[in-house]
Amino acid sequence: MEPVRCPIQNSKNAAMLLDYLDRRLDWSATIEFERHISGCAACQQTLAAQREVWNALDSWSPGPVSEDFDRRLFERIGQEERKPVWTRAWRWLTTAAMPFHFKPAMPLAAACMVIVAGFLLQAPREADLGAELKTELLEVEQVEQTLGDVEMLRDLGVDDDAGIRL
Amino acid sequence: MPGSGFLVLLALSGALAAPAGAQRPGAPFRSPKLIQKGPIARKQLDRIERMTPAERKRFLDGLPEARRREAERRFEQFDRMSAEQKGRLAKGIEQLENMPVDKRLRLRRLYRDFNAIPADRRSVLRGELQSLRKLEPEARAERMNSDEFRNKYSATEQRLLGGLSEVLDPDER
Amino acid sequence: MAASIPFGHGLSEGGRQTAVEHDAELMLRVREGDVQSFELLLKRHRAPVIHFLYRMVQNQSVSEELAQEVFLRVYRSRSHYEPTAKFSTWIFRIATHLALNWLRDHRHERGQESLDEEAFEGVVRQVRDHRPTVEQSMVGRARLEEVRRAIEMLPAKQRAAVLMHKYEELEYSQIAAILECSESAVKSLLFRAYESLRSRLAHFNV
Repeated sequence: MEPVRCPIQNSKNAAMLLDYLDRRLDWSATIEFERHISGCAACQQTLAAQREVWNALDSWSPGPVSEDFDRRLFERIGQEERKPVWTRAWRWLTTAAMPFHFKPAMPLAAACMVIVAGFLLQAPREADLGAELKTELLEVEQVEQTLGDVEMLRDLGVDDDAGIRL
Repeated sequence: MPGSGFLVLLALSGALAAPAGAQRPGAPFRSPKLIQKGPIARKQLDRIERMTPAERKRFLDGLPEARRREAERRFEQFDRMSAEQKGRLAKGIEQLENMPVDKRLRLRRLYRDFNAIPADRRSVLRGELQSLRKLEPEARAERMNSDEFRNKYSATEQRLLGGLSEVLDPDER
Repeated sequence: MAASIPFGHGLSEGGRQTAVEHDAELMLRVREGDVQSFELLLKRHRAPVIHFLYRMVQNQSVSEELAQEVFLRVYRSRSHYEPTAKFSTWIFRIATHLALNWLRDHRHERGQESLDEEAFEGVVRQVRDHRPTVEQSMVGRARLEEVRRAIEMLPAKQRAAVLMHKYEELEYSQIAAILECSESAVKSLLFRAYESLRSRLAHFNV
């Protein structure tokens, strides 16, 4: 194998340094690169400095997540689900589907509304989704969850005929 | 002018689009159910009911120790229920699945706090909760503001009873 | 009857399912209306997304707001979800876009941030074996501030690439998909970013 050209001095080989640090080089390339490093002060210095950088970055841990994060998220989801469907469709068009740098022009937005209207007319009704569930999956976590919910409802005395208002 | 053309298209799409869960005029607002949840919940309950001993053993054997003990205990609890009780709980499970997600999350958190209370107090709270659920909201508020109620229950217990009775407000009284 | 697919354990069709397959499977269930699966995805990805956003925008409350928006968008998109890319790639793409947008929109404010209390919200990892002295705590905070500043001074895309590479350990191909560029462009971003970081941070004693 040809001797490695120093990645510090040869920008075309710069990625090799990163690949070496990431342990992505194959075995023979690693051997050759380490052979190069043993005689290259610049690479040795760079590698040592990079390890220090990673140690420094390791020292930075974010704080804990707020306890009410999930609650706030589900409140927002709940609020959204109570909005009319066309509001949600419009929001989907202007946010989730669009790249961050793209600002839809009015004519394009209008065309999208017509497409959405056509989609809503043609979309399968919600009851069809239930009928289409044909798999018989034994889902461990869902079974556990259901057992837990049964216990919860029983513990809270919700096993009368009154049910729960939704 | 692009603006007026857009407004025409908007009006047209609004007129043509069939909103999911169309409302009857004058009917109380019900959150449109974009997601069919009932069959999934019922499916799981039916599956638990129909599990053969071998299936149940395979299920339990695959769980880590703590989860296996918990699941085993709950299976035994489930087995002890009458058919009638199971039927009523099945209805509750379906309604739980159809709850708005924020409400369901709130219920789970209240239940977690409920479980932190000593067992003897839990049975007292359970009885009180059942009574509160039978009351109309105004009567319930009156009961909870009474001296007797406040003297009987700690601040935490009052909070739990208030939250649970609100979340589990019955469909029928 | 379709083969049963145990969840998280057990064997199906000759092998144990990986977390990656679970994510796609969970999201497909969310598509079918299963909100519990969404809760599981949230539990799994909440912390990595928030931590990534925190290191990008360096503000705890903003990072949580942006993270909420990430999961909201995931939930809103559920009916159209197709597992064409890894779930983590998708969710980090949303997070990165939101972070880059926020950084762009708040560029003029960020000069003040280093003076705010919130800039010190990050936690310095303490030495395990003994409680830090006052001096060590001060050194730790100063070090944290240097790390924070060094990351903050990186151009936004370099910052995103480094954070995904170092903290989330994403593959080059994933980072490329998230940043919508080629793998060689990602390597170039990372190389330049690490070069900057070395010049600013490489005097730390380990």
